[in-house]
Amino acid sequence: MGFKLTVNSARRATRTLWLLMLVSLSVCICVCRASSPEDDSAMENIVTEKKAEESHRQDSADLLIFIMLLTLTILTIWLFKHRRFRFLHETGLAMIYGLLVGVVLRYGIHVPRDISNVTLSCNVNASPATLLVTFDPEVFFNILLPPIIFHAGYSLKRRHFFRNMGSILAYAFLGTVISCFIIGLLMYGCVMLMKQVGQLNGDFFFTDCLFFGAIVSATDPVTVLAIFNELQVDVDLYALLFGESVLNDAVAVVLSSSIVAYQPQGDNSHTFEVMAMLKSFGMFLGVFSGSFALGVATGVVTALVTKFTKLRDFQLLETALFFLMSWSTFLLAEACGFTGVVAVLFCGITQAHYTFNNLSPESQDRTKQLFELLNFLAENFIFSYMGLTLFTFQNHVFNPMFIVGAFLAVFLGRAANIYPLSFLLNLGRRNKIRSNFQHMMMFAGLRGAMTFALSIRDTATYARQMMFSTTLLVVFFTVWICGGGTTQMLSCLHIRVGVDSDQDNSMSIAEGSERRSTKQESAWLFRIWYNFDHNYLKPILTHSGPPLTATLPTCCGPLARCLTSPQAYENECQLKDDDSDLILTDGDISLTYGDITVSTDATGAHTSGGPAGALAGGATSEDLDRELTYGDHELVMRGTRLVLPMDDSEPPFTDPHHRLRM
Amino acid sequence: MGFASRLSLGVKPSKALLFLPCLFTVLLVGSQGESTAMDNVATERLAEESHRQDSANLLIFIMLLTLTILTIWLFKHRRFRFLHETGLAMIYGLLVGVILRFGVHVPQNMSNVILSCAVNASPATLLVTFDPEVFFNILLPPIIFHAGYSLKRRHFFRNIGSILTYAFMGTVISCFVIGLTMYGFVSFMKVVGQLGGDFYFTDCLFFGAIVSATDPVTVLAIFNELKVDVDLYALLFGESVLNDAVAIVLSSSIVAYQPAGDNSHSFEATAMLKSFGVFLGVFSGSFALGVATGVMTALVTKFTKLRDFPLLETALFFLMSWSTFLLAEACGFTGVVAVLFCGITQAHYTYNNLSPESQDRTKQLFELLNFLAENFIFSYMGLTLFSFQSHVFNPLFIIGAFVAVFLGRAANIYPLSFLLNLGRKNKIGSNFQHVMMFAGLRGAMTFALSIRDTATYARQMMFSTTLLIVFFTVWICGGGTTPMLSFMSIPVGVDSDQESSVTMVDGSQRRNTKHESAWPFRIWYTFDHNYLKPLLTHSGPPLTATMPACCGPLARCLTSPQAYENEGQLHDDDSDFILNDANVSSMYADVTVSTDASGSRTVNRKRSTAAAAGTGGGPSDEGLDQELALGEHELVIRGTRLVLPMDDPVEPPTTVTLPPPPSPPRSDPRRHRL
Repeated sequence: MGFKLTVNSARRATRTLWLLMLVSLSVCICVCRASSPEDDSAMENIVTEKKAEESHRQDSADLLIFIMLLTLTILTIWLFKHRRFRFLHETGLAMIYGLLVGVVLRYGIHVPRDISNVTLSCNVNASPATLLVTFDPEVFFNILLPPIIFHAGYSLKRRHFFRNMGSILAYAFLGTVISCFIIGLLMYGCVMLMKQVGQLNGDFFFTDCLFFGAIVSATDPVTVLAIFNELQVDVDLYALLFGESVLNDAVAVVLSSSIVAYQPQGDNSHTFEVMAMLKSFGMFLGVFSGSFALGVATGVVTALVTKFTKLRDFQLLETALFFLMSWSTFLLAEACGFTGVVAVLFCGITQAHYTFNNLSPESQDRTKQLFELLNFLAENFIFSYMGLTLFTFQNHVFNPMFIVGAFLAVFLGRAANIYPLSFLLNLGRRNKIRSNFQHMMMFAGLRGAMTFALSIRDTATYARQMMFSTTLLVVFFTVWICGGGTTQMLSCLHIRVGVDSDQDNSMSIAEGSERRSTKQESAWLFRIWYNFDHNYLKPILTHSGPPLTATLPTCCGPLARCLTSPQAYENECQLKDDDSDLILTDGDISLTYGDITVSTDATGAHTSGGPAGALAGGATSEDLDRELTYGDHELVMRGTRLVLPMDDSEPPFTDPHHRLRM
Repeated sequence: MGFASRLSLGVKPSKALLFLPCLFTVLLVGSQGESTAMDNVATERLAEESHRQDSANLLIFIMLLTLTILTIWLFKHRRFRFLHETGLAMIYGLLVGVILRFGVHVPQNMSNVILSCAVNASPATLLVTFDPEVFFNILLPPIIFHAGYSLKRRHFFRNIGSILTYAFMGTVISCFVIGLTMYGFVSFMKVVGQLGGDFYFTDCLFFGAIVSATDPVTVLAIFNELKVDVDLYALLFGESVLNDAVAIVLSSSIVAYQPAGDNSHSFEATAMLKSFGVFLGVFSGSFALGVATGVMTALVTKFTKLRDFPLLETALFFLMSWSTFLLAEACGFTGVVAVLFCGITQAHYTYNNLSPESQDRTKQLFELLNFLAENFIFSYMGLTLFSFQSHVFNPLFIIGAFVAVFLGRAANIYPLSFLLNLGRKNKIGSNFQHVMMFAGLRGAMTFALSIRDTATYARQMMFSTTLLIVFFTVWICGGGTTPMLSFMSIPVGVDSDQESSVTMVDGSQRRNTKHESAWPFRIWYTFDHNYLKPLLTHSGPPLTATMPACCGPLARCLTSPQAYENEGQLHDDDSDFILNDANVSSMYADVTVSTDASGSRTVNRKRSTAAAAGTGGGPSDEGLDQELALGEHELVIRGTRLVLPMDDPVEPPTTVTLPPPPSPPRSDPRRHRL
């Protein structure tokens, strides 16, 4: 069903598609297809040749419009940043410019376009619906989204991400599903009402409503997070929002595709059926875990390759390899029938966690900058296209009631995601998610690129067209109003701004050391993971960590020796130190990472440990944290570390070890 | 003609590799008008299936590239130099091609039969193939842009006359020589009866044009590693880069040669003139567009403070460079040519305005893109030898082509070198000529031009032959570069700066008698240095100093604040110029006939060997050079500059206070500035 709807959009896109599709290495076939009768006389050939040339020019011009739009956006954004305007993010600006150009294209040069199109329409019944600059929706999924998503995964702030792992997963999975169903149900009510009133002139089934719920549940981090980053908002809030938005997208993609896959037996579908439901659910799990596994697998392979070759001597080769491997994740997933975008996300996370440590410093910069650039371009392209589409897409169905219903549903769905889950999570969290954080998360549920891409993917039926139009409005509203209001909202909710991530971190550690966890087993899973990661995965996949010879049982000696990198041995002696520290402060560590742990006040750790114990503990947990830290925080972290052990008996002693452990 | 055949051919690849196939499958169904639900489900399946297939196909290439990278690392690690990465990519491509052809033929075929909705889709290409336009629209632009962006500008401009001669005249000569030779062979083949199709004279010329495009990568990678003589490097690189542009435009104007009257392929003066007009028009149009966008970018980066945000800056740079291509294509010019000149302009002007971080970023970005695109093309080349199914291997034609290519290259290099040597101060030695002859590899551009159009019998034969030529030249000539260099006793391990100081000494021994032959270049350098550089970049003298007084306000608002800071030093430079004027003029006058200098030899020798620090004198000529040097050489050159001025009488700090020298001698050295 999902694909059949591309009929319209595909035909409309043939022209423009040309150039862009080149990017995806395909192209030009539509023209050729249309123009190959058996009897290709010279005359005909010349005509088609002219047409092809003409359309190639047209495509170039179309793409040029976008490039110009982006250039304009960049210049304006520079002006904004220069003058410190914060109310409009670059994505919002891109949309505005897109809108303007859309208006011009729609009302300014309609007629000549039309004529040129008539000459070009080789396919007889090429729908006249979309005469203007449009791209094939698959372009978004195959070209524009992957870099965005990969960059998101690659730049996840790993420390805070892992500390809030439990909550993030809860929001992303449970929350998205809840939001999807709430929105779906509400919309179904709204649609029923519309049917009663007679405002609906097309089919709109329950699955459509659910689909709408799924696509609208994907939140977009960019706008808000750009502001957060600039203002240095509380790191936990940042981590929660970013992690949620990133994983959100993955969940929404898979969810929507499994909803589309929900096809009960018997041609007359759209009724409830347990089997189909289960099948959809199975598909959700299968696709998600498959994509996850693939992404992680390619990441691991890259890490291994970069570890065991001395590729770091040739930065260009290293960067190229990194890029190719990351891209191959996408292709591999698509070839296997999984979701490329999801695989790319997890590949990004794995690359950041392992491969990044193996790269030479220059390649670290290069890869970061490369994906930053790709992300920037793709993102702004999508947003300006969004603006353009509002006017150039010609099958818009703006139904006021549906729109109002959708806004309401989106609001309620977000609320049903955040508040109940936060309540539940707070039961288990030591570091509560306060109500102002909750309000902020509620407010920051912007919809962006993923929502748009999912909704434009399929605009064949009446229902889908209505969804698309409504989604566009939802995106506009959230990006402009919610995105623009972030700064005000932050001050209104008294959320701390200008927080140094390390200061915050040391505070939470101090808090943590005052308490003692009673339910160790709830943090058990995470602890196991960390130990495993630190003792086995890190040494196997990267140059850091303790040598495997130390962590593996003696029987695996030879294997361990050949897997351990020479650098790891250098870390060994310091490691012993750290280990002794670890024994002392075991409880603290579990606390720091036991995100969902219910903890009571400590009995005696506070007094008995005294300042020395607590601070030594602080250092070790800091150390663990640090492994999760991303590049830009490294320096700052080091600063903190140097401060912390001050009270320790022998500061210069412990200090270098921690640093080298990185 | 060219386009026509391309079109009818375009059907072939359509089946094999579509990245987003849902689109066209659906398109076909949609055009039938009746789309039942059943139908839809089927097409949806098909679309999904072919999407997977495409992903898998692309994956093959990615894996190939990954493998190439790893092997290349191994080679570099172990210092094997006989095989360049492009050669390796071809070998891997060949291997995969063999496997695809003979290993998994049947399943591919079957799935393909199911997919062939269009009835008359030719069964010719069942395997992984891309639309040839992909090369022109995606893969070549980054390669060519990178070539332009990384032209070693100093040596490039110093040899500009020779380079232009080789690139333009040489390519045309080579094209016609090859065309004529091939026509002879083809006529012979017709007599023998070995020719199974039409082969007109225009086809021969077309073949000549596409085969005349030489590719720099392989040889230059080795040159770079071995630090071969910079002049040779500049000559080869400049020639190969401009070559491509000429070959493209030449081939498209040969295709455009269509005499009136349907029965063409006969000689006709007007059509010929028209073709020539097309050549000139397209070339100059593309040139103008490329330069225009470059200038635009330079202006934008100069007048905004975009440098505070490297990301934005890099993005802008990338977008502007890309828009050159699109603009040229949209206007009907040749995008690749425009991109080349855009790259040169960006390197010459915009690069100076970028923040250091963006300079790195852009260089690295285009380096990466270039690397990927290049290796992709070469591995595809290898693959094509087996996966392309309309190969026409005609032994006689192939032999003829090899002979013709050899002759064409010889007719390009030797006579032109002889002519150039008449005018060159710094002769092109015969060993240089042999290396240039030997280094005429054919690569990406030749391949892209020949695969663009494989509809007719003649074109297929050309394509197959071209493939072989590329293989041969890349493997044999590319692999033999190192032995060839040592055989020809070409100096290796030359530091470019040391070399340049040597030529300076050489130059100073002579005195330039024919000033006027360098005249256009001198005019250009003065103009560039006095007006364009200050206008477009932060460097150079402030416009207020160079422009006539009447334009004062305009000049003031166009000059960047940084330029004023340079002003003080500039006067220094000027005073120095007077001292060693002769050196400067002879250095840049490439085509100048020069006689021996009177007596400045000893002075200069002493100067160049004196190793102590100082400022003042040296900046003059070395400073000139330095402006042309690309980033990597800057530091070294600065070092040299600090060394040179020792012997100058003036003390560095006091020179600032020196009164500006009289105008005639002052303007003289400036004229030679780049």
